[in-house]
Amino acid sequence: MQQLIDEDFLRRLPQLRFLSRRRAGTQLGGTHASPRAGMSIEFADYRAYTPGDDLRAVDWNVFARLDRLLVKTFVQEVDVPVYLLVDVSASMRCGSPPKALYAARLALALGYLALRGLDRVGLFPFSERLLDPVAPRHGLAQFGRFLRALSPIDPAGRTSLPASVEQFLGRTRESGIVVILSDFLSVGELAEPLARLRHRGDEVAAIQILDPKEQMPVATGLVEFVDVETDERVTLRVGPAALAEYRRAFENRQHALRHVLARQGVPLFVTPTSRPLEAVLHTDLRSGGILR
Amino acid sequence: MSFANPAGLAALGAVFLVILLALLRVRERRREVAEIALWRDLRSVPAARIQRARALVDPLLLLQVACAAALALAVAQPAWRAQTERGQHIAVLLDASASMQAVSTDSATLFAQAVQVAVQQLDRLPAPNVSVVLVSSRPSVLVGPEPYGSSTRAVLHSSAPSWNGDADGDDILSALAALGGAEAFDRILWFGDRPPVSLPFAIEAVVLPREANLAITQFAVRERASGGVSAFVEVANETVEFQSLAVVVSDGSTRANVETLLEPGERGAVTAFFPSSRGSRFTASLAADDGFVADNVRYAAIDRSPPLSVRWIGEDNRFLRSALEAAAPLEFTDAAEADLTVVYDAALAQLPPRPALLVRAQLPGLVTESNASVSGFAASDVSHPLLEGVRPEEIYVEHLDRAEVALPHRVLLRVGDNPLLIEVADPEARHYVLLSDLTATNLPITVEFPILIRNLIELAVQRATPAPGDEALVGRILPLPASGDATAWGPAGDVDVLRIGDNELAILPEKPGFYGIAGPDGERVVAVNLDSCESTLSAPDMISEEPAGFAGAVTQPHWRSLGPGLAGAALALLLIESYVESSRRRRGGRGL
Repeated sequence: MQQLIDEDFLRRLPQLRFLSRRRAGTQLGGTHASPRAGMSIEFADYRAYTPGDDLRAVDWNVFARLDRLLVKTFVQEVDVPVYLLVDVSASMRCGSPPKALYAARLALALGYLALRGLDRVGLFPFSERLLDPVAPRHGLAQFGRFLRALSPIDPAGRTSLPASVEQFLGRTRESGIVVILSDFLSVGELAEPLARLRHRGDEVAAIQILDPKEQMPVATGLVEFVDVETDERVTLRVGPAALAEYRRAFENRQHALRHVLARQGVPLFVTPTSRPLEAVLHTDLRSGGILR
Repeated sequence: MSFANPAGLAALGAVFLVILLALLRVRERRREVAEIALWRDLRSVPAARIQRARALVDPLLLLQVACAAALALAVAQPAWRAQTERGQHIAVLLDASASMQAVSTDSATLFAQAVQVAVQQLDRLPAPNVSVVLVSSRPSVLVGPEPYGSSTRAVLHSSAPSWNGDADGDDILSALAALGGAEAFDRILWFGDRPPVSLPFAIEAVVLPREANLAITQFAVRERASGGVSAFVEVANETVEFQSLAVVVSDGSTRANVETLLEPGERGAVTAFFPSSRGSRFTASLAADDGFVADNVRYAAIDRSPPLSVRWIGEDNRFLRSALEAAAPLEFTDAAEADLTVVYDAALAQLPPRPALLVRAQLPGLVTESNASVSGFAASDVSHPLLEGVRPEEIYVEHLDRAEVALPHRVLLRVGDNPLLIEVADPEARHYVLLSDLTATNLPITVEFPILIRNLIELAVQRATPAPGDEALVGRILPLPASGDATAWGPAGDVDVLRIGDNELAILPEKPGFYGIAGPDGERVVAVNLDSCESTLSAPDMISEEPAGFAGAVTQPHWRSLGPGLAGAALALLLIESYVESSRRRRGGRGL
């Protein structure tokens, strides 16, 4: 397996942070003291006074000049953990570079950004079940644990997101931002685990990592296809007609995947392994509201 | 169809290699996928169903197999016999060399048979345009391009073979060049007993088998420095039986008979010696009853040595003169530049400037005492070429005056202490002095005397070794050494002298025999013979008891090679395969 990540890459990462809907919400400062340590309050906006508002929030200077009662609102930053679920099943072995390697690099980059943003970050590799998770913690020392957890990567086993999510929920009691990095080739079993995550209050994002040749295969002639997870074999004579049919079926499956995720309110980011990680972070995830 | 390089067919193995590689490639094309469901569903697509046989019959594979097969066949160089009936412009090459004079058992010459076969062949063709060339070392065009008909047949039947040798490639090319070159003809037919080789164009040859033959293939004579002539004769037995060959060699006046036994196909040499021959024209004849008599006689000529010029001073002596004449032809002269000076019982003021034999001569520095003489057998203390073969003890001297020699000298023979024969030391010439009168010795009646005189001539005169005579072949230009006017004669009378170049003369002998050339430097005789190649058969299997059938005896058929065409086809297939392959790659490459 190639080197996972290097310092230059990390230094070049943009100044981005995970954006939580909870963190982005506005609250009246001081009304509900944050139970969590490390939170800060910063000014957000003005709004008209309504009876019952805390008089301490009235901006008396504005009232003196404008003779209007306005109260100040504040952004309440809460400590939202970030959970990175990385698929390391055998199917992630495919591709050039292997999808597992790309997923690991992307997960490390996301983890680094989150740790640099003072978030608690946890890493949860999975295949048929969770594999050696790294519990959420603050601090860049956590990055070293991530590296050890993902290096070396040896993708193996079948993919079972329901079983893995079941174990994940059992190990983490606090909801947070859940980023799932996988090839999402088993659409049928996605709905139930995503619903459970949503039910707990997690903000879920799905990053689908694909090899370009999975999207646009170019094989011709007599080919024996072998499923790396099940060792099932199918021999086909691949020609232009068969390739066109494959692409059509692939698009149908992607459509089904988007549909399942959309029903759970989960955004999907499709990332071919040929796409630079910087572009994924700076463009895709930022425009998708995952980072800011 | 035939193959020029049948071993090249082994390259067809490349076809099986291509198929094997294709099979291996099909087996090895395996791809791991992350999820097989999508591919599994493709089994419902008819175009994707497995049909292994169809998969093997890939157009690319077919092209590759065809390309490999074409290349392999091109290496094997297949050729097919060209259709020979299409041509209308025919060149008929009739072998008119001397060997075509050979007579077969039905008394017809080979040449007549060749004409008959040629006419039969031409009669089969639909109104061809015919040119006929008599082919030999001096080829000649018998019939120019003309429609074949009765007149052509008449000319053919009236033609005759020459005494010339076989034609080589250049001879035939030059003859055809006069008719527009070989490319001017659709077919070139050759009729004769030995096909020409190394021709730059294809011919159709009808080979007429030769009868068994006995021949003199070489004849040479050499004059020996010590006198006489040796004759060397090479004979050949080109039959299937042992043959005793009797050869008669003649110098015009003397005949020598020699005989030898030869195995079938063997060549042997016999020699004959003419010890006192003065002839310059020699003939070797073979007593044989074979079909080809032209090679049963060969001729040889030699330039005999010029006579020895002798200046005689003093009294005559018939013993000495006879001994000199026996050793070499003599020409007596009074000139001081004679080859040899003989002084017999005379007084000289000084030694002659040229080689000399002095018998009982008075010379300055030589003092004899006539009242004091000795007698007895001669003896010698030295080894000298003059005494080679001479036994001194056979020489008896009855009366020898005592002598005092003041000249620088060397004693070759002595009687007691008295010198009998001395050699005077003179760097200019050799001088030998016999101090006794011949009549006072037994020398004239001994065998030592002619030996001594022969040694004296060879040693003192130093005559050049006689050169072999000139030899020439029938049908080949014979340049003449004479630069001015010259006349020539041959076996059939006077011969035309040809002027070649600016100032060179030559004759063209047309028959074997002796030719004489008379010019400012005298007359010279040249022996002209048949080319010895005419006497030999090309291979033993050409000896046949019966004449072979003529019709269609084509030994050098006209073949057209398919190799270049196949090589071109292979290249074209390769280009098509590359195009198909690149097109496939553009539509969706083979790589996974």
